Amino acid sequence: MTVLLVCLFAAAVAVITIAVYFAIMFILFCSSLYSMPSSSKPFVWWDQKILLYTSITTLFVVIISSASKIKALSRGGSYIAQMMGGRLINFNNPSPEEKRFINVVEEMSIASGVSVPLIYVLDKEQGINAFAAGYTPNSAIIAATSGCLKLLSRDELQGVVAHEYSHILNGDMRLNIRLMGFLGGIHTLSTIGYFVLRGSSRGRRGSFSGMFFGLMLLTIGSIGMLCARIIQCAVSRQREFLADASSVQFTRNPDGLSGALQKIGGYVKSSKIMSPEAKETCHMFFSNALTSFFATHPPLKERIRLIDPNFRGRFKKISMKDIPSFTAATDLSNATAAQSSFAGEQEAVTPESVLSSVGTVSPENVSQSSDLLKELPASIKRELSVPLDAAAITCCLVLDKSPEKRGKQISNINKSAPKALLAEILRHAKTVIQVEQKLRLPIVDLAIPALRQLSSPQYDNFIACIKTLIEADNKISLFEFSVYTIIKHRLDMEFKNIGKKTVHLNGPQLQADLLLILSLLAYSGNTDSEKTQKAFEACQDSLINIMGKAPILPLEKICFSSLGKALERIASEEPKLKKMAFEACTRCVLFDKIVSKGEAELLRAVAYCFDLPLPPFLPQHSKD
Amino acid sequence: MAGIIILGLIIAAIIIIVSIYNNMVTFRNRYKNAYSQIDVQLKRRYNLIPNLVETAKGYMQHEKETLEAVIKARNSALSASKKASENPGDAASMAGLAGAEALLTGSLGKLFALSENYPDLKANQNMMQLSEELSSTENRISFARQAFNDAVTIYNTACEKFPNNMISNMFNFKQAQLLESTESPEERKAPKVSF
Repeated sequence: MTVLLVCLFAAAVAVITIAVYFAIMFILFCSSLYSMPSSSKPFVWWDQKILLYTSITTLFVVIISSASKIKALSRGGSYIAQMMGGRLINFNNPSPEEKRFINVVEEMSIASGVSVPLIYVLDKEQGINAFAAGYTPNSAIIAATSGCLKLLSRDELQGVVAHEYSHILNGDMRLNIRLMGFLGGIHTLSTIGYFVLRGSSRGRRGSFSGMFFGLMLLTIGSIGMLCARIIQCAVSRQREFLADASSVQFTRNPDGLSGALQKIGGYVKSSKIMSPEAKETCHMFFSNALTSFFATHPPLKERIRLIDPNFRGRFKKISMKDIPSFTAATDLSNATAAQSSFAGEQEAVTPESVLSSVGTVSPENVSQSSDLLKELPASIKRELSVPLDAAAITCCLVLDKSPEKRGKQISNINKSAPKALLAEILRHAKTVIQVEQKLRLPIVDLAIPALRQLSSPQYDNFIACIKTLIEADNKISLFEFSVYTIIKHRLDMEFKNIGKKTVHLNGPQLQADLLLILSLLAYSGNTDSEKTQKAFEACQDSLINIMGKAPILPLEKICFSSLGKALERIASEEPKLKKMAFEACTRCVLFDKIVSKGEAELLRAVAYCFDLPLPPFLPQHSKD
Repeated sequence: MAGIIILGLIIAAIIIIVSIYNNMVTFRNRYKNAYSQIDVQLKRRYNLIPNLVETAKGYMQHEKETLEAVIKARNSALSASKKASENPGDAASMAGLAGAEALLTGSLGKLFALSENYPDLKANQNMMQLSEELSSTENRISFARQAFNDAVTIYNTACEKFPNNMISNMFNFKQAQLLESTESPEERKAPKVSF
């Protein structure tokens, strides 16, 4: 896909260069007519020198501005959401519609195994639309217009959110952001044209040619935007069908999505986005953000017909007045139908079933995670949205159950931790310690949006604090390691700006890292030494090309800190390799077909690090 | 030839200006967003205080003045916070908020100190709960304020750096004001009084 994108982009730049060249030649032609109308020399339209200079300048402009745009975008989805006029949802005090949106998003995140994204609302937009953005599944943001929140029912909203999650899980967002960067470069031309036009029309000396040149640039910029739009539709339209199909697959409820699309069709404001930035971002949205000849999304009717063959092709008119008044009860009318029919089903866990679940969500996952969220003590759930409390609760998760050890942990952080954080840790400790094991990793997922709002010194303090707590007893359990790895991986991207570039490791380094990870998994997944050996060999076989043959590391040689570093290094590798490595990990853990909770959590932490969205795969996850 | 080079330079300058401008906007949004975290917790605090006073009233009939002073301070802090949330980072409104908050914390401290003389009030379940909530809200406020101040510092530094300072002057990016801590050493003790 990226190759196609680059080709199209190159073509667009070429078209623009030629247009600029002719614009300049035209100006020269006019001025030659003007200065010596009776000149006998015919005007030369072909001038290599000028062509060279124009193409260099145009390339320079487009590339520099694309690069600066891409750099700005590297800050991730929040930047885009803020640019579009998005407001970060206030988790502490949401309105009923916002609360519903938050619930739907949280369920979907836990179900698909990505951390809860930051949630934005585009308050000024009345049309029904939504988008997701971010470099990796775990640094995504999701935004919806206020029209979307007000007009859609819960099922329809769930359909829209599932559609956006499909973009998140399929890795479309990275492409979308890159596309936006490229388009930004093309867009700059028309901006410059606008500035030149304004500058020269204001100047006292009537610089006709300047004005003309500005006008030309503006026109060329528009041509560029046209090219850009063509690129946008070429890249985006197919993806939309895929996302629609996935949305239905995730929710097993075609009515939700088709209902949302029908409402867009019948609504006066449709899915339009008013913000001027929509030009650059329209390909990211749920439905067409601009009315134009080159639509970024397939026609609504076609999309609906693919989901719902009974669709007659007529939209029912709706307006803001038709909205049923909002009650909290609507939120509870959640897809319970799907839930009951699948509750009894328990599949055996095989490596294949786990691997095929990566990047998908099943309705069972969704209802399971919705139940899971209901089990969470209300006070914890509410307070997870406050940054301070989220940090404190996460710290509490690694507190030991025995009072003596806990006392030692607390006394270790007594001096270093900020006063407020320490006080909140002490306050929450009692409740959090009693939380069941199965709810503990979901708590980490839920805490992440709030943790993303820490300032960077606060984040450093928090990490130092949780590290001290973990290391207090000189032993690191699998759970502690998983919590630490997930938080660090997830938030370092936000605060340290790392983990966004693909880095290729050299051979020996890669082999050593893989050896370390697989050895640990083999030990943790199997109890007796013979099975451990076999599991290790089995998974080594699947990676034979990369790691070759090496004996399993002895258990004493595995230390958690080097393991963490190894995971981070592989995390920055290319996705294909990560998938293969993860496959080997899964085979290793599931070799004996018995999965303990510790193993499941470790495997999820690995998947997390590799940015592979792994839904909670244990059917018995709900039993303790 | 020279014209093209000059044009190229102009264009490069425009691109740099635009990207710096966008950076500044992002930093500004960030600290404004950080302020909303404080705002939420301040509101929560202002909502808790009338309940607290109401509960205390039943036991502390002789301390009417203190109770009224708390309510008054709460009301003026509420209006100061409203002003501040309209324009977070503005020097006057930040100073106003810091002053009003200091007054409120002081009068609350006095209330808690006086309540030492009323064992029944100390034993009141409602009062215990309220004071615990109040102290955790204060913790949150101090934490959110730290985050806000960090964001403001980043923004201010970005404003002052060269060549950003030229652009911040041109587009009127004003220096933002930190929200100073309202806790003086003796006030720091106030919320710790345990019931």
